[in-house]
Amino acid sequence: MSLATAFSYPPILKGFLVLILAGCFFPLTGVFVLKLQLVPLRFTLMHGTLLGGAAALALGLDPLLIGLAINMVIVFVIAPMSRFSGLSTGYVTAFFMVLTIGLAYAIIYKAGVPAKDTLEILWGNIFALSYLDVILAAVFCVASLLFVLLFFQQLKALLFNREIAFSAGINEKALFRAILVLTGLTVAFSLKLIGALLLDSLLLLPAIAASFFARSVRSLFVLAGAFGLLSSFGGFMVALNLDIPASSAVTIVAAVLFAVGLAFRRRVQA
Amino acid sequence: MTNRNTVIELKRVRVQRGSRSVLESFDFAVQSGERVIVAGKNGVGKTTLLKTILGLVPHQSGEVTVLGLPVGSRKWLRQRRRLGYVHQDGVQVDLPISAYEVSEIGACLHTTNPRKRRALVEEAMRLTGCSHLGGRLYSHLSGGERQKVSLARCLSQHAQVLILDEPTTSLDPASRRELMELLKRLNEEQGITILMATHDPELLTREDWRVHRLEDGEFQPGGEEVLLSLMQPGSVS
Repeated sequence: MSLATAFSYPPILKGFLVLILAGCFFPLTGVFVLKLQLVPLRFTLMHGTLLGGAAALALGLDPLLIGLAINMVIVFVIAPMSRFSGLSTGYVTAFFMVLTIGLAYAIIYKAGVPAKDTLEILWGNIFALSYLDVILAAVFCVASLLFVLLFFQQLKALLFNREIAFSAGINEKALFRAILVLTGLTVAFSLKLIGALLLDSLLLLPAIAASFFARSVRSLFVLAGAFGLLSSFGGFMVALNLDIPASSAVTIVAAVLFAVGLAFRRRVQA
Repeated sequence: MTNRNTVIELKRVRVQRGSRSVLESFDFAVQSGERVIVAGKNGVGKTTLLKTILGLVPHQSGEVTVLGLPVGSRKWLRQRRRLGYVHQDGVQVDLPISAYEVSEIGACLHTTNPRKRRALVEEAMRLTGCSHLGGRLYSHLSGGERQKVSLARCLSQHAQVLILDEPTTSLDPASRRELMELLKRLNEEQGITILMATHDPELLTREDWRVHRLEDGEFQPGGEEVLLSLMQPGSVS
């Protein structure tokens, strides 16, 4: 099927637009997740979104909104709970990780949520998006880009070292909290738009591949976006031509780019 | 009574980390333009002292004043960048950040004008002799090069006081001498006050620095014999 023919179908066009946006901008959040060691938190937020989705399906509410709300609660509770209990944030994150998935499973079981709907929370459906979803995704992507551009110098200091950022006069606590919020929103949006499987391939793999080649923080962000764009566009084309799910095609393309990047980096270093 | 030239002052300060009391009823002052070394074995509280002054570690009681402002106050929060901090043993980062970008961190709140910021950073890198390192990855620099870049970061921050934690640990003798000369030059030419924590025996007998020996949470008499005892193999780890 040609691109022109494919785009004559609104679901495919909407899916393509969101995929390209997510490919370009979600890896920016991925840079923070990787470099600030937030991978465990990202799992917790994913579970939080699943809990929101399960609760929303049981109550007949919007899964995206409930998922966002639960993630914001998690983001704002982790730090005070860590301080109050004297436990590390890693332990508190692990606590929420298991609690949320346990609650999600209990709700799905007790409310009799159909298995198909549950799986849709996990895998998303890029071709089942409304125009409102596309607009929301565009607004969110522009907002995350603006956040990185406006606070680039401060973010760079935070990524380098939090104590040095503090001593340079930066309000690093507020900035770190903003990054947690951005991560929570990205994860929640991702599950709704493209699913859990695709989230990893667009959030983490492009950022890792970018760090193979980046020579500065600026180039790290630019390359992460470029690898994300290649993954999403390439994956979309593969899905279209081989008739496989877009999420798995994008993941496979991202993984191939990651492997090629790794091999190329080794050849350059050898 | 506080001398108006006092840039750092601690009065009866108590700092606890976990269940351990690191500093107890601790008094200390640094005057403007001084070069001060705090010496002592690993674990005696040198880093805690520096971090207390920087506001990174809270003090349980007493007063910590920096440039006339109580540490933790609103005014101090706005002025804290007048203290430049050079971290222990460089900073290990898994981040592709260039030496120029590290130096630029200090300037990030001074101006939003990229041209002014560039001029500020380039001047700071010239003063510390690391202009030629700008495009290189920070993680690929030697220990001495990293320290120069860190000092450039502090200068582009317009720091009036430099706080250095074990800056010579990973340096060879030539780089160590070069760093000490650079610090002396910054102190004499730029008027920057310098406070350094170290257990490097070679630095303890420098006559052009005021040396304090920290032990058991308080300063001990710092006579030459005591300092030389610190230099014995095995006395410092």
